[in-house]
Amino acid sequence: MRQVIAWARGLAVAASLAAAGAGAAETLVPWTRGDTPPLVLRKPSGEAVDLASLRGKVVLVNFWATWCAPCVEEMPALARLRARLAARGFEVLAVNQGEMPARVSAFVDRAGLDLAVVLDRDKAVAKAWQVRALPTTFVVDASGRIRLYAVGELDTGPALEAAIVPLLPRERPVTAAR
Amino acid sequence: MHRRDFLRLAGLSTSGLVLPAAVTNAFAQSPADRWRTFEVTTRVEVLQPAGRTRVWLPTPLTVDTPYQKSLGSTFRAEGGEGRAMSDPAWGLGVVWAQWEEGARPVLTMVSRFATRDIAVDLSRPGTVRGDRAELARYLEATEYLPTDGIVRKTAMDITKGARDDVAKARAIYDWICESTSRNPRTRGCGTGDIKYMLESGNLSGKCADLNALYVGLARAAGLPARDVYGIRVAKSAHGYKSLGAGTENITKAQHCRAEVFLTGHGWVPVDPADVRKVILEEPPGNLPMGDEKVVKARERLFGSWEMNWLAYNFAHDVDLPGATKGKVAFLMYPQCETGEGRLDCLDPDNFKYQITAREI
Repeated sequence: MRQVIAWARGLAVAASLAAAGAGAAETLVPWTRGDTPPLVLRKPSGEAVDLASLRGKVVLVNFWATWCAPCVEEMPALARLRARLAARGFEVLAVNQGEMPARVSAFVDRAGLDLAVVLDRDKAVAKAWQVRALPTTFVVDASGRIRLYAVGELDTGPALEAAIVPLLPRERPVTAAR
Repeated sequence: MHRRDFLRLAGLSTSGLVLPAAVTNAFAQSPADRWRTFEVTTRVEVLQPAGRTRVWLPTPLTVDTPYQKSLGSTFRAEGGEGRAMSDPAWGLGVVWAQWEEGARPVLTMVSRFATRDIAVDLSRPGTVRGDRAELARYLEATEYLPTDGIVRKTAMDITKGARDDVAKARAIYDWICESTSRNPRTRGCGTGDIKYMLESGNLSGKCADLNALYVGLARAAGLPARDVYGIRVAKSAHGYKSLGAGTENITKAQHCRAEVFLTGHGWVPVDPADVRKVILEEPPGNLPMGDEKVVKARERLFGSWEMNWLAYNFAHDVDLPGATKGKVAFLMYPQCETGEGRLDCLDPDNFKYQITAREI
């Protein structure tokens, strides 16, 4: 029921692709709906990214599209969060939904986003991750397990960082993945 | 929709002619029937082919209806191999082609069809009886149109107290007109995940959402119903700027409608999504439900369609022949797969494709 309430607040629906309403931003809540599905996708450059290879880091997996207004709104904040926490073992994977590489690359360049963007061209990964609306965000812990998620535009205020920091690995990795 | 259900009509190296079996007398109608004939040309040029590239295009309905007769399609797959397939059970015709690595994939399809406005007089008792097996197909759930759970409960609530099928169909139509909204920011025509719409309470969208909601609710209420996927080809002659194609370039004019089968009357055209389009888009915009234009559209679009529109098919969960990336919820836009995945069918400029229409 929590999920239904979240949906009702107004978000970009993956199915009908509705624009976000004026509802309150979403906070991350515990994930209880199963194991972490595989996520192996390519960047617009063609480089492959496998979520499993990021084991040891906390990864925020954000499903988004360029036409999704709340997605576009929250992405700069996600990039800033990554910049603050990358050295402590944090990464962001921005999983674009079904758009053409040229359009995605142009958007990322124009927005100047320092994020790892990958292309879910067939939306098969979104389906496996039970994504039914955009944006949808997951937080995967260092062991590869989904711990938190949110449907709709994230509250990118202090609460977001506060939810992620306790999950960060104690041992700091040397570099970020990007 | 299973691949094995397709009837292969032709297997041609680069070009071909697709003729539905039932096409016969489209031009034999008298002028009084007001049949109009259109030619629609779809040209796809895949800008970024990779590995084996495949393209699929919907043809006009392969079964004749009181409002449309296909006059056939021709196609040419330059440098590749083209085929045409159909599944009469869903009126589905597909022209598809494939190219090997290194080719420049260009597919052009030219379709002709005859069309005329349709109106069903629901005030008179009729004698139409449907084929039970055919109608059973239009009561089934699809991936995005479940007929149980919240869909069934909503349908039962809406139709509670309705005396007969016409009253049920009308109650659902009125509910869609009054409870939903057209969202101009919805991409394409939407995708029609009606369970999600009802669970979220977000009842906004476009035709593939709102009319799919009609179809799903009707099926859940026991009324055979179907989405009819298509594209607008000409201006409206009834003064509705929002309900027609303004130019010969109809690349982004896709529109789906709905039909409900009412015993005695047969398939009855409805289009509550276009009522919401009139409300949102007819000048000056955001018209009240009591505006004369809205009232007229709402009355007209339960039982009649203006046929400035081409119907493609009734199919859901379409298993594209030769596809490797799964089914599509419906086939209303050109589709393409390359070695790097499925292309975004709602991005004609980067895909790339163009669709034009002209009356002949």
